[in-house]
Amino acid sequence: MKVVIRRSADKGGGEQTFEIADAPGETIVELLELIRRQHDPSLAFYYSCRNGLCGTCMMLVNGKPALACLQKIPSRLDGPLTIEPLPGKQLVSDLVVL
Amino acid sequence: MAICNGRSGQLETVDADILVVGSGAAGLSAAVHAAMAGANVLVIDKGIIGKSGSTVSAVQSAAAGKWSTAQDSLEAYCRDLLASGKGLSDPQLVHTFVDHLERVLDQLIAWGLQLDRDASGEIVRTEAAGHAFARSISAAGGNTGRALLKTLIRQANRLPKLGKMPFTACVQLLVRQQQISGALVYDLLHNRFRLIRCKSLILATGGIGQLYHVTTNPQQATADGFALALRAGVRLIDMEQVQFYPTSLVVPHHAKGFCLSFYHFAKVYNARAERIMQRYDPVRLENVPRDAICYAIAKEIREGRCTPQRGLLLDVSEHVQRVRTWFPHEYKFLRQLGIRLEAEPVEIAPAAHFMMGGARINRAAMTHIEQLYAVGETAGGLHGANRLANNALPECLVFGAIAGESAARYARTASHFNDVDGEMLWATVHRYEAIVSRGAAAPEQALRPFHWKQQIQRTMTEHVSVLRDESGLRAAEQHLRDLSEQWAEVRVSGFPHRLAKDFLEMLEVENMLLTARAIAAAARAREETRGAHVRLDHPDSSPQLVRVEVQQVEGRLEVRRQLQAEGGNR
Repeated sequence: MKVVIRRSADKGGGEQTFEIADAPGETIVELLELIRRQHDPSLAFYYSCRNGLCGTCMMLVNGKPALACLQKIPSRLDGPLTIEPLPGKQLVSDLVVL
Repeated sequence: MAICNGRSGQLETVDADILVVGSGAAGLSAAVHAAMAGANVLVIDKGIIGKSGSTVSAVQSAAAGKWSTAQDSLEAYCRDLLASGKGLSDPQLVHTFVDHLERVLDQLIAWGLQLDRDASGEIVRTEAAGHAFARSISAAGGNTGRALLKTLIRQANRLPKLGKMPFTACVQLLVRQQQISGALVYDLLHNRFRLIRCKSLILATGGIGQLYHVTTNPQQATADGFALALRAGVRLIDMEQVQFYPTSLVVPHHAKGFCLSFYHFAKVYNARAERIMQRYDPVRLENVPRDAICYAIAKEIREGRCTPQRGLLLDVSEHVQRVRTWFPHEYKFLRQLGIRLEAEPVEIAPAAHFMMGGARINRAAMTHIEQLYAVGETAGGLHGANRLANNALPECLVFGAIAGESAARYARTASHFNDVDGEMLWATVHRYEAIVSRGAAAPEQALRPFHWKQQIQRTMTEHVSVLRDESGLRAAEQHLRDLSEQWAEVRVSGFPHRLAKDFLEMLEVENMLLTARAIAAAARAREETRGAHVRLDHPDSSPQLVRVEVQQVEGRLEVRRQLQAEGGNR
C-alpha cells in the first residue's frame, strides 16, 4: 500500500510517500510504528493509553479526524492513505500536536 | 565539585524548589499541593503533561469519610486493605492513606470535580470485590481518571509557581551524601541534556506494564521510576508483587489488554464450558479479589482448557444493563470492536496491570534518601500482596498531596541547594554521547532499542507472569543478563531529529532491564505463594512473614529477605 505522511518543517516539510509491502497491522498506530521501525526512524508521532481515552493520537486520516490507536487501516482504498497532523493545534513535530 | 547556577560546560541549569517527575494523578497532586503551599514547583514528563500515564484509563476511585456510605468507617477500610495485603501492607501507610483520603477528596471537589450522581441527586457508590462496603465513586460517567486529571490540570494552570516541561525525560537522580540535589534530564524536543537543581524531588512515574507483551498500561509505563530509584540507592520492597488484571481482552490484537471491570458480576467459563470458579471458590465464585480469580484463569490456560488464542470466556449477558450504567466506556469500546455483550461471551486473559511493590517510603512518602519522595505506583508498601479495586487513584491523590506538602514545608526552611556531583553527571552525559556517536543501525541489524524491548517482554511474559517457578525465574534472570551484555551494541537511529523515538526508547530499555532484573530476583527470593506472587514450586504461604527488599549497591543488585512480625514493618 501507499502511505502519504505530511512532515513538519523541522523534518523537511512537505509530503512523504512510503511504499508498505509488509503486513501493516490493524490500526494506524501499528502502521506508524512499522514505518518508524522499518522505513524512517525520524518520524514523530505520539500515543499513550491505546484505548481511545487520552486523545493524544488524534490526527487526520484521509482528511478526517481519527484516533490512530483505534482507527482501522481501511481495507479498500482508491488512492494512497494520507496521514496529517490535526489542524488548529500547536504543531510540535510531524504528527505530534499539543 | 559544586556546579553553580547558570551554565556549566554545555549544560543549561534550571532551579526549582521541588522537581516532580511524572504528571499523572500522583505527580499532579503533588505539584498542585506543593505550589499551593508556596513552593516553586517544576513538573516534567517524558510525554504530554497529564496524558502519558495510567490515570486516564482509571474507571473509579474508592472513597472514605463523608464520600463513602454511612455504614462505612475508616477502621473497616483499614481492615479491608490489611486483609487484602496478606501481611505485606505497611500498617503505617494504610492508616495514613485512610486518614487523609477524605480531605484530599474535599479539596478536589472544591477545585471543581463533580462526582457522578443518580436520578435523585445521590452520589453513586458501587461495590467492588474485597471492599466490605460500597465505597467506589466515579466522575464523568465512569471516566474518573480523566475527570481527575482535568481538575488537577485546571488547578495547576491557576498556579503561577507551577511550571511544566513536557517531552523531558528524567535520566538520573543526583544524590550526594544521601541527599537529593537534583536530576539530569533530557529535552526530547531540542535534543539536549539539562541539569535541574532542586531541594526536593518527587518521583511519580507510574508502573511497569510495558515489561510484558500484554498490558492494560499505556505505552509510557516502562518502569522508569523503579530504575531511577535503584540507581540512586533507594530500597525497593515487594517487587515480586505484580498484579495481573484477570479479565483483559485477548482479541482483537490491537485492543489486547483492555480491562473489563465487570468480572465480579459476570461468569468465567473455560473452553469446556465449565464455570471455573465453582471449582476454585464455590462460595464467592467470581466476586473475589483480583489475585484469586487471576490465579484460577492462569491455571486453566496453563493446563490447556482455553481457546486457541489462550483465553477464557467471560459471560455478562444477564447483566448487560449494569455494564452500560456503570462502565459505559467499556460497553461502547466493545461495541466499536464489534463485540456485543448481549449476544456472546468475550475472550479474556490476564494482562500486566499494576506494580504493588516499589520504593520503600515512610508516612511522609519519603525514601531513606533525604528529600527524595516516591508516590503513586512507584512507591511500595500500601497494597502489599494484592491491590484492591479502585485503590490506585486514591493512593496517588493522598500520597501525592502528602509528599507535595512535606516538600513545600522543607523548601521554606532550606536556604540552599545541595552540591551536585558533577563527576557522576558528566560520566552519564558522556556515556550517552558515546552511544549516539556510533551512528544509526543499518536496517537489517537488530540493534535498535525496540528490539531489546521485544526481548524483555518475551522473557517476562514467559517466565515472570502469573505462575512462576525457580527454573523459569533463573531462565529469565539469565536472559536479562544476556540482554544487558548485548546492550553494549545498541545504536540510536533518527538522531537528532525532534521526538524521534530511539533516544527515549534507549533510556526506557535501560530502565526496563534493571527493573525486570529486580522483579525476577525478588520473585526468586520469595519462596512461597502470597497474593499476586504464585510459585508453582512453593504453592503454600509460609507461616513466617518475610519482606523482600532489593537495593543496588556499588552497581550490583542485592536482594535481602527480612523476617518480620505479622503487621510490623519498621
